[in-house]
Amino acid sequence: MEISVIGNSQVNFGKINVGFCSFSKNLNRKIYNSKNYPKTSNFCQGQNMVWHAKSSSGVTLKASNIRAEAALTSEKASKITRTRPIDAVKLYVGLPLDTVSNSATINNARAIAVGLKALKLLGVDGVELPVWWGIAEKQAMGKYDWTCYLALAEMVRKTGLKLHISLCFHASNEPKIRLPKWVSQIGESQPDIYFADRAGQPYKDCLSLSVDDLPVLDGKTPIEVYMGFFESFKSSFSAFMGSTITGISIGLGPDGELRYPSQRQSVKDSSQLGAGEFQCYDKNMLTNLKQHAETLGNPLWGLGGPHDTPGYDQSPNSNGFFADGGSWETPYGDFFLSWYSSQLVSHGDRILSRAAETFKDVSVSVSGKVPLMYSWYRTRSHPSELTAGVYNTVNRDGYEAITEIFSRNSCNIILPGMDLSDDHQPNESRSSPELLLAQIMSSCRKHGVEVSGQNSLVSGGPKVMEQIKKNLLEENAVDLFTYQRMGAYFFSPDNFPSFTQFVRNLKQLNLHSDDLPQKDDETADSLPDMDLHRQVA
Amino acid sequence: MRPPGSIPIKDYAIETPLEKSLASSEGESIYEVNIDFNTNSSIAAINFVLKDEETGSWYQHRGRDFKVPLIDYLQDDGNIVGAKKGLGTWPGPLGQISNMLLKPEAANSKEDIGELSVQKRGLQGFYEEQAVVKEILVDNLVSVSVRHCLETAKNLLYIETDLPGDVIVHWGICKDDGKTWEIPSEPYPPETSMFKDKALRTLLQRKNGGHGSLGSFILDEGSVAFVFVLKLNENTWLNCHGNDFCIPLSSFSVPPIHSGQPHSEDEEQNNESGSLLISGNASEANQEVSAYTDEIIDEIRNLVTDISSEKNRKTKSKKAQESILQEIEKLAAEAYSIFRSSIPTFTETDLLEEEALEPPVKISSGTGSGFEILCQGFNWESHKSGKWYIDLREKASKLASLGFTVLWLPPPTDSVSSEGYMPRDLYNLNSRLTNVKMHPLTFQGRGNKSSGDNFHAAPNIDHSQEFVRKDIKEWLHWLREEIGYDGWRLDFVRGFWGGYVKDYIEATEPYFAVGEYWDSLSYTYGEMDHNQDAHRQRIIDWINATNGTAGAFDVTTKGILHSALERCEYWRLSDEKGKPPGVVGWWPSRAVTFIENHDTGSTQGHWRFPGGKEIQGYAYILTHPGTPSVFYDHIFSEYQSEISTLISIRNRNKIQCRSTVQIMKAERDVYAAMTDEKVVMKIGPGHYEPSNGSRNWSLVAEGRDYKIWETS
Repeated sequence: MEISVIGNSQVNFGKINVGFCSFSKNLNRKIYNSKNYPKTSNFCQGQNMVWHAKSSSGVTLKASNIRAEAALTSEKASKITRTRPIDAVKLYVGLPLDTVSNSATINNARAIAVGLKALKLLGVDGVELPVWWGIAEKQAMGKYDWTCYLALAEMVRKTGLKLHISLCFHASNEPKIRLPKWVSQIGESQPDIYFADRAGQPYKDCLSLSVDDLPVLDGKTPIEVYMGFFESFKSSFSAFMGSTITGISIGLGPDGELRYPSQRQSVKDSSQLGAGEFQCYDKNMLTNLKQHAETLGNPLWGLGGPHDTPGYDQSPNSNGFFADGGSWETPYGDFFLSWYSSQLVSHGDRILSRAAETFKDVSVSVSGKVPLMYSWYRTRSHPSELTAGVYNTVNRDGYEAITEIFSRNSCNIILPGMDLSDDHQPNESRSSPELLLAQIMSSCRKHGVEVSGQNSLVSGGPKVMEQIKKNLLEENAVDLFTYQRMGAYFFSPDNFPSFTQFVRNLKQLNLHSDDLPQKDDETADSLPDMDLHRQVA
Repeated sequence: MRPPGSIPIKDYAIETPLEKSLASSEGESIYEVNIDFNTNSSIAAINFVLKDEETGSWYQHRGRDFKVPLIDYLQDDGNIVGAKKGLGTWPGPLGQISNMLLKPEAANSKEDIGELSVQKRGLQGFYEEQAVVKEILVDNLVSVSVRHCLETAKNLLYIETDLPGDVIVHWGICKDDGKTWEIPSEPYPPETSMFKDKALRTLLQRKNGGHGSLGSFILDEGSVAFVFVLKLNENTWLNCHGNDFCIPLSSFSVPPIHSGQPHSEDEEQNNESGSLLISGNASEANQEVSAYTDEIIDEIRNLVTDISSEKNRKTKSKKAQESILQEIEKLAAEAYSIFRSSIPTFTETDLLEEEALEPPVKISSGTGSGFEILCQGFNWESHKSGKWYIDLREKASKLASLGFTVLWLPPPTDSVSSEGYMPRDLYNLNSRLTNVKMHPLTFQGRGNKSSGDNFHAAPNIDHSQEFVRKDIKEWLHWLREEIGYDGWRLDFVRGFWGGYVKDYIEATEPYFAVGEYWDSLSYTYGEMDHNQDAHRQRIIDWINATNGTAGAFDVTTKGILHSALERCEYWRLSDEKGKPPGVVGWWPSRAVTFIENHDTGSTQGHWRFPGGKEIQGYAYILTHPGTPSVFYDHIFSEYQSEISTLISIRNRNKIQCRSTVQIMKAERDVYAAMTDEKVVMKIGPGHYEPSNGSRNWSLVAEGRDYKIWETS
């Protein structure tokens, strides 16, 4: 409904516009508010206007923020400070992994539609949708089927939520989502497109980084195939880009994470006793290692991976490599670990730079996921991180190189494990999710990389929510949190009430900071400005 | 000269609250402040602005301070109030109602805003009324929901609002996107009239006992949109950002997906409400505002959530938030139930297959093995013995030998009431239960579940308490795994949502679970109705919500047996389709039949089974499908041998929860039925004998008003 403003003067109107700009960072939240407090509808309308203008001109969200801040600084009116951007954490919820089924239909569409509505009312900013390689490019190379994903994006748009897309170039076990069939067929004759461990066991849930630039997929390199996927996605979803779709994360390896599949045992084995194994035994990795050793003048080092590493389920201390003073601290160890980790970093850089290039002209953020290999973090050698490809030990910060490539490509880092607390880790694994998180975050801060958080555990509950909140609020670096994920458990009476509480707490905190400058109003002496508040607030 | 209550603001102003004037009359409140000053002082003028504490709004005069000159040569800046030469006080006419707030800009645009006032000028003072325009922004909600009815191919549109007073909807439909209003075809809602051939005018019905109104509209399918504006009174119209409200009717398209589930989509187009335009526009402000009645504005004031104060907004939006939370909860529950049911752990097809199988292969928590006979192993007095579980242990072998397979135990927790109800601390098994750890040992065979004669313990769980959903799964798990209970009896209030029960049950995988859904049967003029379908349907609905993972006490059957036996109306025992009239007639495998429990019998005696007819009742439930439950008091009474005989007949003939029953006779004084073509029973004083045609029936049990035959 419209309220006619009595004789609104031009001067005031200008100021109001400034207010609009400065709100744009929290657009979602404000729209939500306008539903609650319908009297702000005039504001809301103006806000929409700003949004459209922004999307058409292709200015990114970030940029518009800067613009708004600039406007504020020049304004200098004391009263207007209330409308400065609130440093709020945006909150997203992941849609079920199998939202689009293998047979290209939407699972539980009704439940998702209802769920989206619930999230919207709750004040959640958006949802995350996994888009699977094995579903969208299932039929044949270059033959994409986006129908269901487009339908979902439309559902999300209609609900008024934002959408973060996760492009998944890996397979999933639970629920079962495979790589495209035409890829796995190639894999049957050429198992070397997969990672392999010392025993030669291939890991068939994603391609080995060693084939990134080899024409193994019917004459095309995997990178080229990924690029094709990006391009097709971009053009198919162009109507949503920058408006509904605010971000895209790019799958970088197993479970989408930038790592080697060093852990092979099932996730259910929560003890995570072993540190995992190195995955450098596919043909191309070995060739690469050999060449690298020869270049460095140590051909003997390139004959294979380290011989004294423990197996998947063995304690890292049971063999020489990771022990204190073990091979990892020798020149050979350094040689091998440097090579092994640099392969991973270059792989990340290759994909992220292509993705950033592809999506640079649409206003979406591009991100990638970095693993949180927190077991054995409290040892000197950090074996779990080493096998996963992060050369992070007591002597060396392995996350610098990783955050650096994200920074170089202007990509955000997605960090899982925001829900994990040290208190719940088994003692014998000497793990510390919290310390590791802090290390990665500080590296991100240093390189100016924005962090999006996620939770790792399925189980929710008040304690978990508390931990997430702690991480989000203490570390000021997180600007988006994606709660994983919607499904039966998510809406169950065990979880949903605490999630609701969590959302309200987050939003409430935002509100508090929002309210702070208001105290000044009590002694206001400049009345036109007061009036501005009423218009804008 | 500072009036009482004044507070200095910094060093240039004083804040003084207005006091209610003694001169207030006729319900009209006048607030005033008197400022006394010495005329000889050097004060040139008194400047003031007004602030509404409630809303935080500031009122000015022509965009600037009100200025009361105290000397006559003061330069006129255009905002001087009163006579230039006048001296005196200026009592503000700030009644709550006529307190019309002057927006700063308003004065600029409208110079003569204050001119309806009476002006008296005199040498010693003046009285001048200044109108201020108060713009009250209220937070009202108009929610519109549209339901598409597949059967009638019509849309049902429902408008609900919390706007106070009469709300008139001017409405029409659009047949194309052109937004031209058309008059829809009849029927119209009540209180509808035609408005200038262009629109329909419908007065919304006031809601019962509260603020707000509602109305529903039936619309043909052909319409593209429902367009409307709201009219509150002659001067106040509500629209949507200057346009009509437009509710699209051409459905909310859930993408072409999901194997054609025929459901109607609700579209909610609510929240398009907003600021009530109170003041009309500037040029007319005065007259029109004053046209408002006190009542309306007061009401509006009560509802106001003023936009100007964040603080106010927060507190006042609480209510709105609560209703949103409720909506969220509803949506979440719906999403939950869909997601939940899509997990292929327990599907209807499983059920059917299971049903088709020859017994007894599968154990389902809704039925146990299918051959269960329950003993409700306690009564309302059982806590008095103080060592009930020990007593029961002693009796367990007896119970097992009688043929019971499931023993229902009192709630095993420390409780608010000593009877064992209302568990306080779910993990505290201290009350009466010091020896609880031994009971899995006490009862035979937790293993060997297929044999049909094993024995399971099931505690009672009270779901009517708040704690329920919190830790209950953990607790159940603990009981199941650590203590060795095999199943649950779920004592719940009506409406306790079966979907959640299913969750507990699936999480804890009990051997057997049963719920109690208790409500009244239907009576007409004090006579129980023959047809109790609605009653049993409610129980069935509950079982359905658990996805069949729990059975339910067949309260319907108990109720009908009461009337049939007590009043000799045995015809009641057959429904219109010739089937048993209780839950057992519709979903026998999930019906737990009983004639008495600790609430109805025992010393509680809430709804006691007709005295002396108990064995007729047991003759009925123990020969019929469903899972029969026998009450403790009856087992250890003079009925024991008869009950024992009935149980052995049931076991011997392998009558189980899915047995088929054929009603042979249901007349005034006799009821007879044949089960699985192996057993025939009759109850009632009337005569019945099975005909010895192809089968040879022999009488195996006989007592007061009942007989049972087996084929031989």
